[in-house]
Amino acid sequence: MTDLMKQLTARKVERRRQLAALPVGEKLRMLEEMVAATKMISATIPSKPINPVRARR
Amino acid sequence: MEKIFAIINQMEADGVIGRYAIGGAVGAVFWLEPITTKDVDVFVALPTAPGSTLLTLEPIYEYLLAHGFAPEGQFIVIEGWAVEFVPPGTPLVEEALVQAVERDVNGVATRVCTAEHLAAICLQVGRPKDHDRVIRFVEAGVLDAELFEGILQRHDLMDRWRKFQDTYLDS
Repeated sequence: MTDLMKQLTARKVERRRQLAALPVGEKLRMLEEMVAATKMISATIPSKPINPVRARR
Repeated sequence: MEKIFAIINQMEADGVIGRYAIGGAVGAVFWLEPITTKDVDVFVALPTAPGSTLLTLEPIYEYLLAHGFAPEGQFIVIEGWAVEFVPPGTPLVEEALVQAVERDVNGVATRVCTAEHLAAICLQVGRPKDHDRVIRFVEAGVLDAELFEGILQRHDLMDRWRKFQDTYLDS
């Protein structure tokens, strides 16, 4: 592993520890936001693709 | 989420369920950073009917349906969350339920499995996402090594733990 990758991994672990140290009420609120955001993505219906044959007319 | 804990507390007070403890990803959030999940796992001791040894989730469903909550597969939807009530299926989960600790969430008391038990359950279940969670427990530095190894020894998980360390932790 390169030094840069080691630094990134160490930063990731440190950030996780910082988040883990937050009050549990705050962490559960963040979890609710994450889940709501995921539901919004899955609730988004993509628009129909344009029919290239009709588009030419 | 506090409302869910309050409802479960009321179920316990009403005798619909016995002792309960929050497990799964929501339980892990008490010890780790927020981890996204679709459901709330509640380990629960079920009272048995007099003269019967049969465990059934029916009283839980009846109680919650009577209070206006809707079933969805094996879950009951409470405050927008799919909540699953899980009777302990292994001695490890039984122990996790007995040794679960009280926590306060914005003024609402609840009970959650210890970090050591949650990590041991993940190790025992052994799916990729469970292994990922064990790594998070280790990296977060929240496990008491002595307690954790004691649990692993009692539940015959030391071999699995050694293999896990060889695979994921030794570099």
